[in-house]
Amino acid sequence: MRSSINRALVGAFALILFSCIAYQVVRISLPFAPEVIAARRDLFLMGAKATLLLTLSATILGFFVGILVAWMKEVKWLGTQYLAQAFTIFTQGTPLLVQIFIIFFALPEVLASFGLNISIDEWKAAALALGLNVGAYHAEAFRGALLSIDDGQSKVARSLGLSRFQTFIFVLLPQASDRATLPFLSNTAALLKDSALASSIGVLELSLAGTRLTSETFKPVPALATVALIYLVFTGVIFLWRPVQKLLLEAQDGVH
Amino acid sequence: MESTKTVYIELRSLGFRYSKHGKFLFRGLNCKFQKGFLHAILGPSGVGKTTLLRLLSDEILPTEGEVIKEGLGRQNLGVVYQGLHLFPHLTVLENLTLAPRKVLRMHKNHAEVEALRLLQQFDLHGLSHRMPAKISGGQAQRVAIARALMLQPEFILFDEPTASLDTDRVKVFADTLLDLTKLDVGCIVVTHDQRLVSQIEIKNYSKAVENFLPHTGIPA
Repeated sequence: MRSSINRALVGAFALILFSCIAYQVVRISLPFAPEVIAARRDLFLMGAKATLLLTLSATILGFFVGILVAWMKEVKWLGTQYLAQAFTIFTQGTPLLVQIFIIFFALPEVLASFGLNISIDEWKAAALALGLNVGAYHAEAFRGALLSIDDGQSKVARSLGLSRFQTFIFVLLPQASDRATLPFLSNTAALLKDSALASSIGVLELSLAGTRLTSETFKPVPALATVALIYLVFTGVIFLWRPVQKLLLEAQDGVH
Repeated sequence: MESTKTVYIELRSLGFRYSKHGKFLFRGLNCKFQKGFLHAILGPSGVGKTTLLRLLSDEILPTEGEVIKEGLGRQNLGVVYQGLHLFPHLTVLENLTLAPRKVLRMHKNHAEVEALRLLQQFDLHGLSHRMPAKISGGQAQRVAIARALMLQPEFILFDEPTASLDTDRVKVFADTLLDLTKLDVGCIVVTHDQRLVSQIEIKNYSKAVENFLPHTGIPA
């Protein structure tokens, strides 16, 4: 139990640490890039930072949305499962670009008609849309992991007197979180790449930095190659977590 | 064997069928299970032994008749399933202490002392920090029994407990059952394993479905 929570915390910490390292790697190597790129490295760094921050905030939001939606589908309490299902159908059945537009352009107007004057800037809109979107995918990954756990586990937990909620928290959740790691990582990598869509509402992230430099210099090859390389470094970092998790699991078994 | 309160499980004209108009799996079962005794429910596959066990553990409800549990609370009835189902993400020790800590609100240290005492008793003391994947089948079974014992049950139900054990282990398991009855725990064992049956020397063994009745075994 505790070891599963520890692994999840170490995982979250490692992802943040790795992202910082990846960012530093990019920062240190940019001056060695061709002159066109090196001269505007501040633009790329700004974009890279924005991409990482967008991904990070959407990951945190998406994690909680994912668990909440998976839980709503499992408990089937007061029709929560229909609400969760509607959410999943909407987020998986419409383009992410449209979802970003809806949150950025339409949501403030809808809220205003209810008397809520909340301004949503392009940053918040992008993070919210990305977080909700990845949350829907996380929920499916998490539910798959839950369903893959042998029925006997809950049966035994219940026969030992644990309540439904205790069974979920102490028996199912830790096992599911280990199993959901790989799909979570793929979803996070997809999220990192999808964050490029935030450029459509004017967030200056990595891909917008690339296209901006292209239009400034009329040299698409170095600009876009740099953008692609930086994305590769970042997605590579996400998948570095997998071997770390393996090491942690082996360490746990090896101690005893 | 003198307990101040009367604790027993009684079946009164118990009947069960899975569908509303289907055939009865069994009907008119009358039987009394007592603490400190070993009861074996015998018969070949498909006569409803496991169904009876599920009725006893309240997993399903009877179609007819009733299961009376006199003096028994929910956690007074332990179940050791065929698959054992140790919690794979917890160490052996944590497997034992989870339910007492969360259900009985036992203090962690107290629960661990109690768990280590049981592990010692079951010859498992060296394994307390192992993960379930790293212990043998026989050990896993004793861990599952110890886990059920942590809640100080009056009865323990066993579903085909010897299915995956070799003959030597079956003997050890039969000894364990007898030890449990000496602790004044009632054991109800569902089995069709002839080796176990001969080990616990139950004479009235019958394969016939009509005679499918829980037989009272040997007292402690």
